[in-house]
Amino acid sequence: MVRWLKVVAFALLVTSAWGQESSEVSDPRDKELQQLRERVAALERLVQLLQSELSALKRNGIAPQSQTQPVALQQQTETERQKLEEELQRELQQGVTSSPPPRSSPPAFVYGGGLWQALNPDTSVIANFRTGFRGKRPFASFMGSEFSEAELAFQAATDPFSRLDTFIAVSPEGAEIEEATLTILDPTFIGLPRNLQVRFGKLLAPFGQLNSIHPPEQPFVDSPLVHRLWFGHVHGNAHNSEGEETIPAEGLFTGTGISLNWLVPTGKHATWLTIAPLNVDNATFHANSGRPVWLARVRHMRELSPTQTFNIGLNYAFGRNDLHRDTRLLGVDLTYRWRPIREGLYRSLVWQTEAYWGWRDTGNGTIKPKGWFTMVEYQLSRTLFLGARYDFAQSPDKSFSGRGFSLAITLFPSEFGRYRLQWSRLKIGGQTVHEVWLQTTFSIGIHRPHPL
Amino acid sequence: MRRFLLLLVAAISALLLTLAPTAARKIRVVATTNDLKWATEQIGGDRVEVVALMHPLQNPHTVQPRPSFVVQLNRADLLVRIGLDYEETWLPPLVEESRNSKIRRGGVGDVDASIGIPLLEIPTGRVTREQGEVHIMGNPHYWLDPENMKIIARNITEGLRRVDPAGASVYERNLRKLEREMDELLNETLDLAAPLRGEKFVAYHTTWSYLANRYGFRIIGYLEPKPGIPPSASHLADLILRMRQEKVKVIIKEPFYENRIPNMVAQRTGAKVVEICPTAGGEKGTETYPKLMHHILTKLVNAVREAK
Repeated sequence: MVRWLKVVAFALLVTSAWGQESSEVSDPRDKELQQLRERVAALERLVQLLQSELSALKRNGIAPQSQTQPVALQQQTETERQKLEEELQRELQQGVTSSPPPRSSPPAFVYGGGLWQALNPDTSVIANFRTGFRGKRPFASFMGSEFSEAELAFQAATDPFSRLDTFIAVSPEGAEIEEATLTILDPTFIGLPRNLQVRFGKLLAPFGQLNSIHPPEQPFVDSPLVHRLWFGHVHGNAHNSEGEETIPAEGLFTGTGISLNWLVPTGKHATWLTIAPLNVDNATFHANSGRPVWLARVRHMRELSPTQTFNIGLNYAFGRNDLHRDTRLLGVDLTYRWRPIREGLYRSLVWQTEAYWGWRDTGNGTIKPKGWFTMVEYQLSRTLFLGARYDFAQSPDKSFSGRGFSLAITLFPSEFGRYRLQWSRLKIGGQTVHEVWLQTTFSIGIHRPHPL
Repeated sequence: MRRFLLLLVAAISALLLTLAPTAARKIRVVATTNDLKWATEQIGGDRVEVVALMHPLQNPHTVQPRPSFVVQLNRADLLVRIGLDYEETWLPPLVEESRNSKIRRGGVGDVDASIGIPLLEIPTGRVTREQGEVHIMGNPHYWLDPENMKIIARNITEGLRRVDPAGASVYERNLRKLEREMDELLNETLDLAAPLRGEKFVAYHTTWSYLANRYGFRIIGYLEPKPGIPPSASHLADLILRMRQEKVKVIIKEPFYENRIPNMVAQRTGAKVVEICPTAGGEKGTETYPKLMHHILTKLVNAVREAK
């Protein structure tokens, strides 16, 4: 093909030169030569452009570069290759040298995607497996392996004005709709102000920053104690055979109802005000109590610099407990994020702290439980993250309390999967236990990136 | 009564004062990259004010959403984006959070600059994650070809005409000017890049396919075994042997990738590592798109000369 193009170019050149010659016989010889040179240069460009187009067409039809195998590798001795590989392996394991800038990996357990799927919703499955040991010493007793959850997500725009997001958690206890919301993206079509976002359905309650993330995507195998004790569900007996308190490994504050979220742009910072009356059923609030739980959240996000943001949230919830009496919660959350511009693939830091206070009316007085957690996750390299968490919580009825310290190391081989090893030392109800978890979490399909 | 009338006049004047700048205000454009910002400024001229969200030295996969992005998107009349899932990991939630329906996909103010681009490396057959973080709609680094910049400019012109029909003639005139400039740039850079024709390179990522295609050089391998997958020892060993065999003397890397692995490979092959930012403004002397193209090609030509 290329040869053919060259022939065509040559023919054009000859024709053109002949045409020039016949029409400008009287011109001086050097002028003619100059014209020919220019013509040749122009034709060279033309040939080159055509070659480029041809290669573009060819490349469009072939697989990406990654699939092309080295052609002449077999001519090299296998020993040379092996030696080289071993040498490189050693050097790669040595870690980052001092001269180059350090780097690391995906921003968090986020999902690329962007697959254009015609009119089908973005569909994904996040599978969460874990194996654990628990006892008075690390590895004392095998807790077993469990397929803790598969999160099925279906997300799509319903029309130009709204979007539907459905997350179904399938676990050994059964299937549960974790979140199913219709979000009005353009409220102006029903005469509401543009900066108002309205959501209906089963929602993650606007209470704290961590609660906006589904458990498989959170930075530790288990939720902080305050989430587990206040927002989790205990299945079966509240004590195990050894008399220890049985508390759920996860706690997510969800409810069904409506949420109104108002964006207030302030210079280069942003503030969101949220009000949500929700029907809630967890360890703190009781469903069917005759009135919804009213939640209010003010969130202010500040841009400290192009690499740092700081987020502060004030949260309030008011509803009824299992005694059909009032319960109030107050929460404060702080989140600091850092990701360098140039080395953003290799380094990042997230520090998050949340503290909650409760007022639970029992009829005989008010119980005031409290709980808090602080955690930090630092990115060591492109694929490795190190996390630490300290947390404390009293149960909603203040019958017992727990505190814990956890360390987790997470390996992301790609944006779509991770392996996590976590050790926790927990002191719950006066008894100290150690937990060691190995978690593997993988996603397939298209999962929309998380909100801001 | 008199006081009331005075108050009324003052209120009306204040109202008119607040309305006056609105009528004369510029079209607010948010571009995701500096290259798109430059193109929008060329087309829009004085009628537009443009901001770019991404820092030129930033990896598009690790953009940290910032509140100022939300504020800028909230106020934008037009959003110009690379498309093809280039900004997919961070832009959609920001657009949604901005509450600005004009700039949502398909909105009057949404410009997908990739429309009409003759794309490279569109995967064929079944696409799976086994292929790494493959760009399923094609390689999105298409701006590194002046011919494609003309298409980008046409898309931007269309977008500006939609949100500001009164400026249509200005935009059309500026588009024609930009197209002529791109033709000149192409001619200049083809001459400049003549020594690159037929040369072989290795790159860190698939950023340079359109550039290679236009200027006639080849990228014979990548440090990443698959797009977005960190290099492994086994892959690097294969690559080094291939580089030795094919006498590849230049490795191209972007500033947002680490130096260690390119240096390891360079050490074993005698190749030179050239750091090039593919976006305008990332390096000194690359503030505009034409300067960026000159800068990139000059760096490559110099690297090839030095290697020889």
